[in-house]
Amino acid sequence: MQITTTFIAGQVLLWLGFLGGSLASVFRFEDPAAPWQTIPWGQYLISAAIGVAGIILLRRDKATRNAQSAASETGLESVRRELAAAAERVSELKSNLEDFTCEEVLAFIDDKCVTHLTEFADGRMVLAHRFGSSVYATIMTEFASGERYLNRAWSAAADGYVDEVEACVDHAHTFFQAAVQHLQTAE
Amino acid sequence: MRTGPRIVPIRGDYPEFTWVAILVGWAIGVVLTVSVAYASLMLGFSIEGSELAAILGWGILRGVMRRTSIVENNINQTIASAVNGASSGIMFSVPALLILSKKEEYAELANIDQPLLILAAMTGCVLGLCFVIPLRKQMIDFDRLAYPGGIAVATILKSPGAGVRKAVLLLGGVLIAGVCQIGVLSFMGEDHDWAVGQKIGLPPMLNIAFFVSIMTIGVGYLSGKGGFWFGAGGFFCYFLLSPLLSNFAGSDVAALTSDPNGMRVQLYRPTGIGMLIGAAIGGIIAAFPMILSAIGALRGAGERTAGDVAKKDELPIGMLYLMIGIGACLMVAIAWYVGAGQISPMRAVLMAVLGVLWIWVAGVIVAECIGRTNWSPLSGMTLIAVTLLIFSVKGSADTLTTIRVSIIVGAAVCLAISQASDIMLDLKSGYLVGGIPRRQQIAQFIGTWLGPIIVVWLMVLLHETKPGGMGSDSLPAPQAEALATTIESIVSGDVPAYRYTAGAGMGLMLAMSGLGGIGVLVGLGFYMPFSIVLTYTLGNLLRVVSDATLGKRFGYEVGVPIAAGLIVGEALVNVGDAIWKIFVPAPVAETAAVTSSCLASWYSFLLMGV
Repeated sequence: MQITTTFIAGQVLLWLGFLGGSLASVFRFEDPAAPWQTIPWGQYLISAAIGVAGIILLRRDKATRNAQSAASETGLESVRRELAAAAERVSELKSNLEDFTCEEVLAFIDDKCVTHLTEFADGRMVLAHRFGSSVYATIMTEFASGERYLNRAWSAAADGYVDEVEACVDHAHTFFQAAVQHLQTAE
Repeated sequence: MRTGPRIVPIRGDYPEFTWVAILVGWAIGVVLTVSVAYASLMLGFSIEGSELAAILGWGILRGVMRRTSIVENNINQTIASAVNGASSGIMFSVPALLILSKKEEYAELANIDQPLLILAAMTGCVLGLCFVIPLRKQMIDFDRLAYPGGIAVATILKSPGAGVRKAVLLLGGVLIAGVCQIGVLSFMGEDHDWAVGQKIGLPPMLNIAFFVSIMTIGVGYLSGKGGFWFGAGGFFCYFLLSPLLSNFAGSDVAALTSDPNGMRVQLYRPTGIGMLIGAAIGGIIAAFPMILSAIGALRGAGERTAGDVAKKDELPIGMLYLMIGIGACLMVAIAWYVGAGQISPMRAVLMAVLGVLWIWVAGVIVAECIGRTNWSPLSGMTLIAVTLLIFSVKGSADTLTTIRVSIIVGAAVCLAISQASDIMLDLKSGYLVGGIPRRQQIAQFIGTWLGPIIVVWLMVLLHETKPGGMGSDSLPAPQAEALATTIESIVSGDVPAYRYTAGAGMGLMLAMSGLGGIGVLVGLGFYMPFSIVLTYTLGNLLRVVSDATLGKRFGYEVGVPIAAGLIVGEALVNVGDAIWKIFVPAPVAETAAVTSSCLASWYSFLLMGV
């Protein structure tokens, strides 16, 4: 992440404001005669104002960063690649399922799918920056359903329920394909 | 599919939501609830039931009944922990009525309307679940919160299929944590803080003491770098605020800085409670578009590509709204009925609306805290609930009615919050083993009604049979005792509302900063003892170093099963210790010293053996 002057200034102001506000919050014991006077509200409000100034700078920096991230193809390319790879692996699992034993299904999911799923999940926020929360929610809904059904396929394979393995791999395949399709549509 | 060397293929439906899972879940839930509720009264702490239920279910379903379904055991543990959710919710709040009733002016509080209390508790449970279920998508699918306890449960559930290596790692973690915890209990007794700072001559205000708990390191490991802000909150208090206060504050506050526990109880904790509230409200505002998208996704499940499957995955949102409406109406009726003619219908409505709104806000706070750190500020949230309720009734009813109605509605709120955190943890473990959320949500409802019946019955039984009753040496109920004291302060107007407000402003500010989730974590750092925060941070550091040097795959393959084992091992030893303390009479002072010395010798012997 590139550190900008706006980001540093925002962080400094936010934490200075938070420090001042927190200090004001715990500066005195209660005055039983006037409990609400316990907090030095003037100092508190000045600190809060400094913190809010920091928030404005941080949000401006974040907006710029999100715009850059959305415009940059690198992050998106990585997320797109990992999602496509996950969908492809599940597709491969589905087409080879007849020749697999339960043990091989477990090994396939652990060795060939998990890394792509984790990498996609780690980089997923680029989708929100680029396409907004609604598209992000749509893609993540399909992805999470796919991942959950793949987890279920793993559990069913560990227990030996082969019909369930086949059904779950099929569902996972459908959901991952849907996630890939939503991403393509969004682009 | 072909037949493999180890796993025998089975044709047909995969057992998940079965009568066996329900019955075993209820049975384990009842045993857990009685044990944990009793331990809560005797020792003042509660035990999360999910891990224990998963292990017991593993033994009963797989070992005894020869059933082989990971997702069936997941339903079993969901039901059992839902039953157990009532233990802390009721035992931390309602006994306060019985404790207060020992004073002459409050004697009438002893007359508890048990059916009404059970109805209020059940209503709270249902409301808590209905509010938090729609947030599953946002917290688990979109935000992917860690839920370390959920990972531990999933690791246990998956252990039969995860291969020998992972099972050995899990059991190794259990063994290490078990041995360490026996050592801690033998050498340190109830005080688990290791005051390193004092030993090396650091100023007491820095509060450098580690909570000696290998489970806490495991929890920190599972949370990873996402939990760092929790540590930052603690460091902020004792490394920045305390030194500043010791130099610039008045002499009274400056003097207190050398007593970190006093600082926490009097200043940091109330500010932290405020921060949690402010951060939760800010978090809801900031995440509102995402929450709307999540609810939209629930509504539009049927229109998705795999519509038929997706539609069956979640409970219909309309049904949840309807149940919230019915629950809110019941809360109004309960408040009005307990008010015994003193509380007007409008006040009852105000009280119920406040209670229901607080269930939503506190449910979000607790679900997020559990998701990010595995700790829940349940007692703080209950305290705020009772305070809000007392203020909503104050002036319109006498003190007795005010306390009675506030504690009964407050207990419902407390149970709601407890259920909200429990189901989110269970849904995370369900996600990891591939459980169907709808089935787990129904399982939670199937378990949730039973807990209040058992706990209320147990509470009354113990109060009537133990010499001295609630609050006596034979039944100390430390949490309820603390709540009773606080209620007396609230009734007399002694509430640090100004500090809650100031903290809320700071929490709101952090939540609006756009640095995801830091408000809740920093607030929790203010709220929790620093010794726990420090030990937890060690776990975070371990994960970061392990990911950087050994790779993320090592963390997933090796670190996670060991960390899950650490959580389970320590929890098991703590349960054993609680049972030991309850059923074996405490030795007199001399014998205690001999016993402690013997335990220490046995521990040294055991350690040499290991």
